[in-house]
Amino acid sequence: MTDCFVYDHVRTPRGKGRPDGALHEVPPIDLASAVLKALRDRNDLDTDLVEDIVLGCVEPVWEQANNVGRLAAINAGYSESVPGAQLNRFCASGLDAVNLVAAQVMAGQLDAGIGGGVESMSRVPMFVAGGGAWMVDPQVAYNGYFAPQGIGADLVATRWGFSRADVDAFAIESQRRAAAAWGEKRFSRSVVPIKDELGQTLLDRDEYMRPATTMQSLGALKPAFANLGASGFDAVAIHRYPDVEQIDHVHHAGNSSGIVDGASAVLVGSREAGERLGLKPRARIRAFGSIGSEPCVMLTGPELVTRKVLKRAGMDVADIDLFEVNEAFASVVLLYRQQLELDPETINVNGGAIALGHPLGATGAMLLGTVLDELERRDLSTGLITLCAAAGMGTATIIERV
Amino acid sequence: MPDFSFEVDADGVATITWDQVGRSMNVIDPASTRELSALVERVIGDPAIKGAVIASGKSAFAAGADLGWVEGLMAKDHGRSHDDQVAHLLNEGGLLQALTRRMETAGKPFAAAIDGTALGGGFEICLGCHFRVASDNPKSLLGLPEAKIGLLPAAGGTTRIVRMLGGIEALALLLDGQAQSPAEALASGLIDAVVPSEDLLSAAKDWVRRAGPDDVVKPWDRKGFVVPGPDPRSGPGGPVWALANARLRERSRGNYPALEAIQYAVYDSWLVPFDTALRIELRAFVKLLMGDVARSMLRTQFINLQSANKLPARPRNIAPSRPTKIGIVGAGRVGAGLAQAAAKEGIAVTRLGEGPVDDLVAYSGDHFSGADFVVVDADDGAARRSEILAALARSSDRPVFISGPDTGAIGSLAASSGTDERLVGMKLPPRLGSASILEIAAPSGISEASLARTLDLARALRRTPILQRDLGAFYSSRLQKVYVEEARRLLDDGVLPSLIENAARALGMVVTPLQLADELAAEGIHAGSAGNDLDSALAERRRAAAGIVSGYYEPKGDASARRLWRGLAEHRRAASVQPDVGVVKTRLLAVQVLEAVRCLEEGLVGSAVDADLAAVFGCGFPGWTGGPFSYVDTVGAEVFVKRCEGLGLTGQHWSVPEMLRSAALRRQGFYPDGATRAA
Repeated sequence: MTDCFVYDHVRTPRGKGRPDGALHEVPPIDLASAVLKALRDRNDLDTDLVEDIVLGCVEPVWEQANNVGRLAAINAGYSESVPGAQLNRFCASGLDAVNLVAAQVMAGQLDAGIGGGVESMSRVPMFVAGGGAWMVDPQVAYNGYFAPQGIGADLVATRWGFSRADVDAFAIESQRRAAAAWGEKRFSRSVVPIKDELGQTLLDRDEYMRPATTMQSLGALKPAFANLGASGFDAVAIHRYPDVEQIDHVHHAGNSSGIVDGASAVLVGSREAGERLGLKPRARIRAFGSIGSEPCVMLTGPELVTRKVLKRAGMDVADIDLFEVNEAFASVVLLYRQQLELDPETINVNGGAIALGHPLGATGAMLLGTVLDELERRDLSTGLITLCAAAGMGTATIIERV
Repeated sequence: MPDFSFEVDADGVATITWDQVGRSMNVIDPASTRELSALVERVIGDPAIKGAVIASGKSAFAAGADLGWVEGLMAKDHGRSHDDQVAHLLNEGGLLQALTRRMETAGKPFAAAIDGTALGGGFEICLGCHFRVASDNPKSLLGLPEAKIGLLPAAGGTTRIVRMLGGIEALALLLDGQAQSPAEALASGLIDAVVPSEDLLSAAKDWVRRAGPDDVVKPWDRKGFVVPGPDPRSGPGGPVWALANARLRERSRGNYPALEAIQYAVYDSWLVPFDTALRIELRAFVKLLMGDVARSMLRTQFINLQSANKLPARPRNIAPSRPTKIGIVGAGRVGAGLAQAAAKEGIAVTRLGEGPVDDLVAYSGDHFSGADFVVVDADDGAARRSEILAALARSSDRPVFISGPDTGAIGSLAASSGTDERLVGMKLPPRLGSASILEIAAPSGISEASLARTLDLARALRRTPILQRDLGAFYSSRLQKVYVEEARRLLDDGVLPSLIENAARALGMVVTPLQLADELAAEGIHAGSAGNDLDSALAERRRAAAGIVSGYYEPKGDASARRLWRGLAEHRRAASVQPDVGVVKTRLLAVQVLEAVRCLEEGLVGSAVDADLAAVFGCGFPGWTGGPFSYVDTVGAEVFVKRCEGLGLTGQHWSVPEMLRSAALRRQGFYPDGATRAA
């Protein structure tokens, strides 16, 4: 099997996913183009040698329809020979896009390619087009015990015993770490400022953060999913988990991932491709994979997929120096930490999506970049990136510095 | 024999009058459908006929399908292959659908003149017409109640309602199966006009006379038709449908295939052309006919209920009576329930003694003179009750006496009070539903006249009597007892109380067992044993709550929002490994089934039919099963016995009655067609 290496990675700053967000005026293809251009320009990349671009995108409708991978390649001025694809593994799309390109490299079917993702949640809001069979088709919804993710997050908290104080405290720590990371410019190597056509900066840092957050300010927020639960979805979840008497609704906007706009891209390839491109490998992709788990609670995939990829890599939890676990909801990371018995100081050391935001299809590749930068800064070796994904899935990737 | 008359007036407007021979109500069956089809063809084919009004010659328009015919369609031992049976049911079940579509698309105006109730297939005929006018009788029921018998409207009803009202509105109507008054049906758009009864026929005829070419094309047969309401494929429609899907589970919990079939059919109907949607609804209908649930529901909740209401056990030689006055002593629930029901039916009620009455003289006065029944339901013990009864009996030989429940054998009370020939025991279900039963314990010494009058009372109160032998406890009490006790054994086994309660909900039990335990304890029934730590704690909690139902539950809040008592965990530690919910469900259901069989074996109830009725309507036993005996027949006695034994439980609750063993051995069901299922 051919080894696959990470040569570089970039991301946009994350803009608030609202009409008053700084990236709202930038169409999603332009966000994706921005990271592709940055990869090309800072590496003096001969794009003739890029053999595929796979971009994750979770709401592939409206402006994000048609295949954002190929369209971004054309829009970014890449060689017309570069094909593109769009991938949807829900929230793990961005990571799985990298995995898919890496898999082709490892299989010897291409030499270099780009995986990443894009999501303009301000311009293409979640579920905007409706009609997905998952929740709308009665038979599919019934068989899958469909309940919105927030219900699953609150169910995790209820079943595994995380209180409102636990999840709020976790959120504050995420904010603190993210603010510290920005303070020390830990993201500066990978964040590409987004500029308008006059060259003026629209956004050069993550816009969503609220470093002033306190237990008191979070305490004022009402549970976000209580009404949704009472309207009928709690009953669905309890029908699936009949040991639960009542779901404690503990999540709200302050301890759930932020809705943001952003894009990311990771350049991967074989050792020979790197030599041809004149680039030095930064990390090797050791193992990756995805799993499915119980779809109603939806969010328990990260532990299972972590165990799976560790086994595949012949590694143990103790062999991983730093973990990046997507902060879809605070309870997801708390559960992961509990189930794998991890030291909190090794997980999401620079904060996560609660503070920084979660541009759905783009996040996975962003997390890979974040952990790689941090491994280099701390001079550590191995990192594991994992995300829960809707309908009960989980995806993980292990990287190792070279 | 013709069920329809046909006449054409001078303007060429035909009137088809439905007046089924030998029936009090018009009902749909293949013969009447074929006859109506022929008349519709005559209207269409005769150039001298402008159009037609369909009316009824009876006091109601039509009741729906002939339930006997539908039950026949559900029969399992038809000797056909699966494919042949499907073809047969599509054919026979599709006759009425084809007729409605033919009327709708033939290009001539059809109007329905709806005088009185029109339900099910009867109302679907109306929906197939181009114009629907109803008489303004507020007691008329219009609607599609098919869901209540485990079916869905398949004579175009589902497809048309979706296109008339929109999908979400259609779901509300079809899943509930709730009928509407003419005024309500007009407001919801199901009918076009309401007129006084005497103007009904002329209004319908006028409409046909005036109808132009545009009036005979339904909206969905025009270009560019869009189904109203939120489109599931749209951003706004998606969440609405997602929520409707969640609520379906709350309602069905996987137990009611018809509810799921309706939801699927309404959704699937959305995108496709009208005639494709008709195929979808008919397929769903046939699938339900071939399943077990519709058959069980139809048999118990309709066919057998109706038969029981005809009082088959009533001595025929006694002339029918109607009570005019009921006396009530004491404030027990039987007295209160009967008083309420009697008042509703215009029967006079006289009460005496909200609390214990000391002076027996009160009972010998003329307080209850002229009373047909006197209910003695004072909470003061059997001896006192006997004294009261004796005093009452001395004062008048007219009334039949009714004793409230659970004071032991009625026969000995009758003997001690000298009311041998005219005392019965009675129990009302704790939560009265729309169809409700009355359990009657008749001691062996009861006179035929008293028995007949008691059954007449049930009829007058619109309750279905379930006659039982006088064995000291009512059937429903026995089922409730084992149900509550099994829940307690589950608790003792370390099963989480939430899992027990949710398992009962998932089964479709009307009341969860720990909730029921609290409710019964509030009435002093099965309140546990002294000396047991948990029972003592529960008793203390109930004392402290002073009359508010509590114990396993916290006393505060309304029933749906109440939480289980946190402190329960200190008395019964939850096991670290919990059983599968399926096991808990099986235990809660099977323990009641075994007890029901014991009751039949002992002769407490007279038949499996009675036992099933009393279970469904008197104990909140899951309606989808059709009752414990219907349930055994459905799964097969042999399978059921194996399932019970497979639980590995011991004790008298789990001993398999001989009657069930022999049914399993002989592969025989409790119902005539429940015979042949093997393990």
